[in-house]
Amino acid sequence: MSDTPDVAMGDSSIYASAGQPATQYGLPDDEIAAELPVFLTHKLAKSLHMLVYPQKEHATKPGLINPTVARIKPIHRQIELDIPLDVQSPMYNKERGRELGEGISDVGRLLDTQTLVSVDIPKNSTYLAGVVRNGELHLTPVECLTQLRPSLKYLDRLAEKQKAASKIHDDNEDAEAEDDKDKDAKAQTIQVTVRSAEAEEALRQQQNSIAYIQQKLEEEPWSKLAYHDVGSEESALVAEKLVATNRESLLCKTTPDEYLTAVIGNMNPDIL
Amino acid sequence: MPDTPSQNEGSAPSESRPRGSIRGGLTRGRGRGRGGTSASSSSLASGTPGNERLASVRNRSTPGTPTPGGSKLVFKPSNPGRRVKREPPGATASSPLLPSSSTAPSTVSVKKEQVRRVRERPKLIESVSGPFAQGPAMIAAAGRRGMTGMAGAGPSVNLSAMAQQMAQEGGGGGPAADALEVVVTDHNAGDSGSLEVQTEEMAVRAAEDMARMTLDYSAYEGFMDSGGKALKHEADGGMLVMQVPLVPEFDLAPEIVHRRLGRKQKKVARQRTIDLQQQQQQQQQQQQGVVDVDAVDVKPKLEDLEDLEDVKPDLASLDISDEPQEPDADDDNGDLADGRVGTLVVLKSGAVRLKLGTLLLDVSRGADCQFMRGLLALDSGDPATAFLLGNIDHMFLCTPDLESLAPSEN
Repeated sequence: MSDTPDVAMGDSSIYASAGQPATQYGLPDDEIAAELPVFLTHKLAKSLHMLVYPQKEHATKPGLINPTVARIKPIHRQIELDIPLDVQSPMYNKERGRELGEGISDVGRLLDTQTLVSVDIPKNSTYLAGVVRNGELHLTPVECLTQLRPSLKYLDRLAEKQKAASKIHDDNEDAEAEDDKDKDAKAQTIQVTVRSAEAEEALRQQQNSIAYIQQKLEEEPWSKLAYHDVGSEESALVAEKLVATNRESLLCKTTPDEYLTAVIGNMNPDIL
Repeated sequence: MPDTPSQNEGSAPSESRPRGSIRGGLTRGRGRGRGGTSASSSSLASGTPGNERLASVRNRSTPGTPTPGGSKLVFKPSNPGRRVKREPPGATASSPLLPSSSTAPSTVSVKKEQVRRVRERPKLIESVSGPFAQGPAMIAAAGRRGMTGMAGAGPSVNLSAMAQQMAQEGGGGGPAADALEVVVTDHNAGDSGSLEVQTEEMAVRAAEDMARMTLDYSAYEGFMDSGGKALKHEADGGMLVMQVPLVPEFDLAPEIVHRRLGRKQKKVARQRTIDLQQQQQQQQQQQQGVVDVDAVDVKPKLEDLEDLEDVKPDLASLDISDEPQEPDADDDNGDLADGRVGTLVVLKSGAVRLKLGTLLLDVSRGADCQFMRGLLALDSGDPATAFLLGNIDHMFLCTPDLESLAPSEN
């Protein structure tokens, strides 16, 4: 890599080596068609997410998904987007929409929004987001992979309502049964389990590890999230940060052996 | 048993019972065919079509022998016989691959014929050319089975000719220790006479073809347009994502770090000069109408100034103009590890390679994704803001080129 600052490369630089054998790229029998300089930038590295919409087609144009409301849990970095549904569409079942709308509100509202909630996917590889600008490839590391899946909380609320309604009915029945119960008391068997203190501690830790995290997640309140869709001025300004401003060449500190060891693992465990 | 006709009854069935009646007919259980005398059996036998009956148990004769009535009854079960395996046309007794078939007996039963064919027929090892050629292990195994003479016979050997030659030299009987082994399958049964055997040279050539086939040329379209020109703007190519196993570490060159530090120091010195000038101006404004004879001369402490690198800056070299400076790496987030890291090369064959420092990676198109993907910049500060930057149109997979990364034997 040259130590002098590199200026922006134009067309002449892209095709400067066109026609020459690609010996330095490991294919001496092939010819170079074009060379694009690659730049790396970390300006958005900590905040770049790759969103995946499993229920949207690949051909969906950006901007069609226009959420009306966006929420975020800042500590756990979970986001929710409310996407409006077309209730006037002839394919929309209003009767069913009214039934499911009871999970949103008690006023008799139609189910007119679809809530997408983010789920982080563990990364098995490194992803670099790239843009090609003026014959240059600019790469930015992606922080995490996020899937946006529909939230069915309205079904949970519906189930809770039904359960509460049935519980009221059962309570009324139980009140009558208790009067009878006092009259004929029966002997009940009680099962006694004795656990050691260590086992109890281990069990408590196991229960707390997952439940605690889930509880903390549910306890964190939702905060308002300002959402700027693609095409807006704010998004365009932030998209400019994907382009590196420094033109200097960087030195690669990783040798091929170290790279292979990091990717494959230590082939010679006896040799450190 | 109600179905069993009495003796008297069975003696003249045609008279007492209507023809075709169930009671006296053929379709009634175990009483079928039980008649009485041979006369009845003959009358039954010569009855209406479809009314054939076996002879009575008492009068049943051995198959093949004529009954007293004159006609010969042979029991022919309706179940099909055991299926006889038919040999493929190429491996018949008259095939040139087999030993001379002139001595094949004609009166040998089918089973004996099959056994003979299995014993005498040499096994053909199926072989194909091209990328699916046999590997060196199979070739070596074939050599151990007695095909050693073929290694130096040239690129291809006509097995059928060799088999014929062996047959003419008297290769009948059981399989010899160095007998040819070739498997004839359904799809090559027709051309079993032209089977070729892979040699080591062909195997090496096939391996080279396979290595060339591993290069994926579909990534070409992600960087070049239909006219063979490189894409310049993201509107042409869209946003893309490259998946790499690991991003190597990069750092600035020492001279660049020194230059940037020098820039920082100059910047600090400039700022201090400007601050000093402003302080002096403020003091002059305060002292304009007042003459204090007993005022103490305020002089800057030289001890403090000696700590600075540039106490008296050279105005000729310093640019203290009001024009805005070019944006520096320190101006944007202060991250010094941004810059050029390598080159992406598109080759005429369609292959695309990425060189990061000294590391060479093969670039191929990733799996086609059926659903939408986008890039989001999320700021979880206060206030929280999300910016959707665009859709991801292309996904590329970068795999390290092991030939260039593997350490050399030297």
